Amino acid sequence: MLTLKVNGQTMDVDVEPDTPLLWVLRETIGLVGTRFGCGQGLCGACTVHLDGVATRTCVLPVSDVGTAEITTIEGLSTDNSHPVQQAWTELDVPQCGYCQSGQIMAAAALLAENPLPSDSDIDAAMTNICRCGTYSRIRKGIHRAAGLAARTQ
Amino acid sequence: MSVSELSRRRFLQLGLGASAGLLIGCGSRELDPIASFATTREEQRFRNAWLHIDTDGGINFIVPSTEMGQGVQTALTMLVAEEMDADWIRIRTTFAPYDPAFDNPTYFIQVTGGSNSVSSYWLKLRKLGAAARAMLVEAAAQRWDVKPGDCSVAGSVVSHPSGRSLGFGELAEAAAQLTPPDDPVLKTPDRFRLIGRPVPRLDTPAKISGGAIYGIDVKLPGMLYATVAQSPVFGGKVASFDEAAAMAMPGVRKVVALDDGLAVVADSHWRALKGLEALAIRFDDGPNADRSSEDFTLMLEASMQKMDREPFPDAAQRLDVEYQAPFLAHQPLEPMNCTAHVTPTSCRLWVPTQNLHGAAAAAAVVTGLPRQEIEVNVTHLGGGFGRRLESDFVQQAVIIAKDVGQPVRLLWTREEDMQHDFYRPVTRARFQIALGADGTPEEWYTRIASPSSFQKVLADNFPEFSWLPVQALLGDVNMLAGLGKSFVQSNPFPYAVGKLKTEDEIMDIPVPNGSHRSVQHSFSGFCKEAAIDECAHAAGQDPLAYRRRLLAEEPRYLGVMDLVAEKADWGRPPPGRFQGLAVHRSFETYVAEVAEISFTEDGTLRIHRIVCAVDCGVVVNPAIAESQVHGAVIWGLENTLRCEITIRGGRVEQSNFHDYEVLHLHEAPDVEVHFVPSAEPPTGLGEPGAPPVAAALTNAIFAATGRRIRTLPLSRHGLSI
Repeated sequence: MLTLKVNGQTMDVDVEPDTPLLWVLRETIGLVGTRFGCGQGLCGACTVHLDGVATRTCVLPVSDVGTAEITTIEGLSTDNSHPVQQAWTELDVPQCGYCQSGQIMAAAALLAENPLPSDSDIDAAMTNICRCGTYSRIRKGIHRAAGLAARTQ
Repeated sequence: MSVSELSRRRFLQLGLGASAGLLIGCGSRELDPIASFATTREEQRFRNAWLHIDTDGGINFIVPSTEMGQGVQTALTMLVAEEMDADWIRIRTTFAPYDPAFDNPTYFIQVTGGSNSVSSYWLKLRKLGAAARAMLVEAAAQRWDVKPGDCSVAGSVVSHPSGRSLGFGELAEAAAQLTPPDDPVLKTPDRFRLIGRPVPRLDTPAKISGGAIYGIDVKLPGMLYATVAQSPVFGGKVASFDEAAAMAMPGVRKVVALDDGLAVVADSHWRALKGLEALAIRFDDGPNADRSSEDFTLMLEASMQKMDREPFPDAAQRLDVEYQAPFLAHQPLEPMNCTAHVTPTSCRLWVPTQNLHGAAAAAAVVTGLPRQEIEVNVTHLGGGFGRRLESDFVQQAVIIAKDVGQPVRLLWTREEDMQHDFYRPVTRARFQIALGADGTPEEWYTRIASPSSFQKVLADNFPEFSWLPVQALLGDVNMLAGLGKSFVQSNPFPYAVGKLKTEDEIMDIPVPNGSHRSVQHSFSGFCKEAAIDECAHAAGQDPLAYRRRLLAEEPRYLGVMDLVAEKADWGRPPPGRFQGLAVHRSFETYVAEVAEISFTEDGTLRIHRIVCAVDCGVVVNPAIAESQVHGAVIWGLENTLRCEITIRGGRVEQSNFHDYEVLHLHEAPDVEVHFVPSAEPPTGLGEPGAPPVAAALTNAIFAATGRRIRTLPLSRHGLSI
């Protein structure tokens, strides 16, 4: 039995220790907003925050999570009110939307660390794959979210 | 949308029958009469209801196409709401389950593809909305004893100059007693309130909260999890496996034999994967074990030799050039998956598919149930791009679920997806072109060779007609899309050349192929537009002026070329930069693109911007339209730059995104999209942005370096960004 802290709640899970955190979140806990894309940490669809750091969970054994606070897309806000989600709404960023939980979590982690990222900061941080090609709106969305966050502070 | 809304039966109970009001709908054909009645009786008789107006004013619209990111959920709803003058924020949508009422009016089966949702529903859905509006107005006019023509509607409220007004909800039951009009009057464009505006997408809130339900998110009570391993060599079979070792793994419930592989069923996805690993499958590679991409290229080259060697001995100038493009994979980010529950008398599916008809056909073959008894519920699609027109994974899920007897969700790994795609076929073309003294092509001979999926698509979707040798009789009518002038080609070769001659050969290459965003146009847009650029340079003429002269009778081609020339500042690139132009019509939409590039001192390619001009008729939603062209350009770009599926030892060499390198954010250039103002009916938009990209880029590279690239991808020529 392992104990995880997910979106502010503590919960016990009974799974093999090598099970990737992604599948524990999706199947054991039932938080399906974090998605499976490649299984090799290449695409970023499975990105969540571990103690605020964007982390790809499809290759992360649950036993390695330890006491880190896990935040999933469901825990980012309850009402799409996080600045990244507000910016994504304004710009209608998603197309198929499948990668967007991961994109949003990666963008939120970037902004938490760097509130006013440059284009090259965004280039370096946003390595998640989007097959629909929403990249330019993601870039605009991050700049917009930076502006929104600055205004509310 | 929640999972509980996904079932057809529940959908009828909850989605429509739960409250009173007006149900309105029609059959799938364009001319089917509109019908209606009150929801308080006979719901089951009226399965073809497209629209429900509740007594509380809520409106539920059944979206007949599947949503894979192209924005149909929003665009089609706009068509209905526009003519209803409905309150946009009171509209809810549900994806149509499998039912003949929701067949695509152009294809006559329930399938989403070919960029045709908005164009084929353009009139039908507006008529549906207009009929609803007319009945609600009539109900109000009767109540007030006034003329319907004196009433007006806005925001789901019918008003009369006397000051009286009633909401749609208050009128729904009375309207349900009326007969729908046969031919309701549609709005003139000057009265549009939604069409033409960047209305926010209906799916954005759920897609940014994590709440949208994709196939992979479906969970049923008692559901088990399956995953598969298929023979990596096409045509191979399972030789041996260790069932006992797999069954000894925690949570593994069953090993199920498939046609060319095995499935492991367990109580979690991870446990199914571990079980599959323990199964230690060995495959018998079969007859294709020594086939390779090099072989296929030799076959294609040999096919090109069947043209005349010297067809125009007297021409002022001759071009004889060959183009080739490789196999490409789709790789939507949601891997193939399907949830199935099969009993001796029923088969229920929850599946992200573009092709509900094909899914039902596949399930019918496995279960022996009549096709109309198969229940298919569609979820959001985590990308489609043509991969989800196929039903191979649906058939597997049904085989597994039938064996197991309880609900099962089959989910492929990315590696299975990469190695068992239905690839854009490797294709080669040869052009023999005779230029006259003024540089005009007097003769233009084209030969094209590629494998075809024509017969397979027929067999998969219409198994009852699979004996018909359609491909043998007709060839593949699509191979020459954009290159020929046959009556079956809706996008003919456009240039005014003296004599056009085409030949094609279907090659027997043992690699599955299928529709890949823009289908044959991804190749014909490349080779035709690069070849015409070669002609312009041979003639010593500006590529834009040269095309304008040969398209003088084609105003919509001229329109997009002139717009792109203006926006890209054609002929006047900034110092050190070079431009390439391409124009192509596909899915009835005209797109011209200019690539603006430079090379760094170390020879790295820099793509500064891709400027696009698009004529797709009326633009229903400019914000969604822009995103579609944008995405198609990114798609076309990665396929020009470096994406390539190669075969060695009869199997695909690539396995995941580390060796099938799709474009990332930092590599995406600026893409500018401009629309030609138009009052013509809307045409396709999901795909037409892709075909011109490759030639725009290779023509720009020629302008910069004098180097003509005729085979893709560019990475094969030492070029990279």
